[in-house]
Amino acid sequence: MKKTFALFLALTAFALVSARAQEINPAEPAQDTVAVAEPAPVVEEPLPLYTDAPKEDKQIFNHLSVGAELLGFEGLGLQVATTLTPYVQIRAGYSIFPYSHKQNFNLGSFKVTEERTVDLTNTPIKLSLWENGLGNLMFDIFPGKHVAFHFTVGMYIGSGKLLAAQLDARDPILHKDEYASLAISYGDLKVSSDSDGQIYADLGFGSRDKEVFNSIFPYAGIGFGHAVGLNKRVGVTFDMGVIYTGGIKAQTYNFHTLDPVTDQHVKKTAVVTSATFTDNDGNKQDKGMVDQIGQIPVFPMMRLTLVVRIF
Amino acid sequence: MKKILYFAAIAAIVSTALSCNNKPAAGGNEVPSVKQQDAVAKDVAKTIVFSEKQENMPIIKVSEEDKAIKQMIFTEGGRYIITVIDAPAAKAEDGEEVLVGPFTYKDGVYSLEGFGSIKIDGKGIVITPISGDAVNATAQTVENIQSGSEAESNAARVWKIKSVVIAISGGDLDKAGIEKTFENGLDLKEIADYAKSNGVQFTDEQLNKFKGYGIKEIIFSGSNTFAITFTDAKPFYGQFSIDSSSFEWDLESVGNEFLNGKAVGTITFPAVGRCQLIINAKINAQGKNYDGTLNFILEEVR
Repeated sequence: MKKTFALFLALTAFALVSARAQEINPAEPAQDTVAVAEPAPVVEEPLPLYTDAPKEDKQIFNHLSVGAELLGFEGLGLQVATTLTPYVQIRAGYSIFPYSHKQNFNLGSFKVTEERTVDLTNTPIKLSLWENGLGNLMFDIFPGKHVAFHFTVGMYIGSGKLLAAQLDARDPILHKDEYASLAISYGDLKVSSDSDGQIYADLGFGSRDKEVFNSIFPYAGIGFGHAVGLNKRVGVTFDMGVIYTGGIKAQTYNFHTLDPVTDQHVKKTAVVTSATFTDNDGNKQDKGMVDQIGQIPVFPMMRLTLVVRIF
Repeated sequence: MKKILYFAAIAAIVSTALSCNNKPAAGGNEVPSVKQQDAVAKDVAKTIVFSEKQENMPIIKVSEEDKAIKQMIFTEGGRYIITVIDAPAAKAEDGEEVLVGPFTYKDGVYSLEGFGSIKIDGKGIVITPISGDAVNATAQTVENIQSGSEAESNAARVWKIKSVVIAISGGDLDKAGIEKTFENGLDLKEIADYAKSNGVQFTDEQLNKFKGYGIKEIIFSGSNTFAITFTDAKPFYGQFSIDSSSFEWDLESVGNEFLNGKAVGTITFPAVGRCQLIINAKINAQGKNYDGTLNFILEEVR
C-alpha cells in the first residue's frame, strides 16, 4: 500500500510539473520588420510573493511542495502542500513510527498454588507507537503575506492507539490448553491470551463509554515557516499544538468467551479505571489518578518538517 | 485540470490514512432473544399428579425397591420426569428422587426408555413397567402443559452444553479471579480440579463428591419443573421461573458447590436452537467463600 501511494504521488507530481513547464515557456512571437519606437518607460512593480510566479498570482493551487517530517511526536512522515491564498496554505501528510521496541520485562512471579507458579520475570513484550500511523490535513493561516508565523487548524486521522503492547504468554507462562480459554480477572478487568498465546493491551484516545478508540482528532496550534516556501525553494517548518482526543484510556482484551451463536472466540474489551485499583474496602489505591488523567481531553503535538517547493 | 490533480493528490493522502485506520472489533453485546421453534413433543406434553395419600399412589419397582409415584411429567422436549418416594414412607418426601429419560408417543401410549409404557385414559393411568405386572391407577389431575410466557416456551425443551465459562473470585483470590472456558460439555469434577489448581481450596473430600457429575442434559418444562441429568450421578431436579430474561431455580434435590440449591441468573435465546444461561454460585471451600458464575451456552436436543 505504501508503494502504491508513493507511485501515485510521483505520477501526480510529474503531471503537475509537465503542465507547469508549458506555462513558463510560451511560443515565440513571429519576426517582422517594423520601425523601432521609443522604448516604454520601466515601471517598478513590487515583487510577487513567489519570485518565479506570474505577476497576477491570485489563483489557488498554483504551487506545490513536498516535505519530510524529520522530528515529531508522530514519528516520520511525508507531506504535500499547496497554496490556497497568499495567506492560507493547505497541507496533507502521513506519519508512522516505523519501528517497534521489543524487550524482556520483569513483571514478577506469582505463586498460585503449591504446585503452580506463574513466572513473569522474563516476559517478552513488544511496544509500538501510533499503530498504523497518522494522516493529517492542515490549514496554515498567515497573518501577513511575508510573515513566517502562522496559526494552524486541521485534523489528524488514525487508529487512536498511542501505545500498543503485545505480551508473549506462551508456554511456560500459560499452558497450551489455556490459550484463549483462561482469563485472569481483577475487578471488572479481564485479560486472556488469544489462540496464539499473545496478550494485548492498548493505550489510546477515546471515551470509556465506547469500546473503540477515536479516529479523528481536531487540531489547533501555531507554527513557523511556510510549507510552500517563500523565496527559497528549500525550507524548514516547525509546528506545535494540541489535538482534541476526548480522553485517554488503557484497555485490555480477553478472547476466552465464545459467541453463543457461532461458537467462535470473541474479543471483549475491558477498560482500566480507578475502580480497578480500588480494594474491597473502597480505598482507591491510585487516589483516583487514573480516572482524572483519563478525562484530559487534549494531547500535545509537535513536528519539524523539511519542505521542498516543486513549483 | 491542475486543481483537479491537486484535489486528487490530497484526497489520496487523506483516504490512504483513513483506510489504514484499524478499529478494534467490539466485543459481543447482549443479543435479543429469538423465538424458538416448537418443541418436539409439544402436543403431547402432560403433567400427571397422583393423590397425596401414599396408599393411593401406584407402586412400582425401582432397582428392586418399592417406590410410590407422586407425579409424572412428559415434557415438551420428549423427556419424562417421574417423581417417586419410598413405599412405604414415613414422610411424603422420604427417599424422594426422580427418574428421567426419553419417551416416544404413539397411538395414545407413552413409551418410556428404561422404564416401560404409560397409557392415559382420562384420569385412568395404566403403568406397564419393563419387568413386572401392569399397574392401574387413578390420577388426581391430568393436565396438558402449556407455557405461560414466550421465554418459558423457549426454555421448555431439552438442552445439552455446548460450552461453559466458569468464573471464580473471592476467598484467597481477593479481588482477583480466574475464568476458564470449557467446550463440548461440562464435568464438574474437571472444573473443581482446575479451580483447585488455581487457588480455590477444595478439600480432597469435596473433590471426590464431584465424581460422576458430568452434565448430560438440562431439561426444562412448561410446568416450571426442570431436571439436570449426569453421566454417573442421580439427577438434580426442582422448580424454575423466568421473568423476562431473569432466571431463578430452586432445587428440590440436594445441590453442590457449583449447582447451588437456589440460584439466580439470566436466560436468553440468541438463535434458534441456542440458549445462554448464566447462573451465580456461592462456593465454600475450607471456610472460604468464593463467588462463582457459570455461563452456559446450550444447544437444543431434538
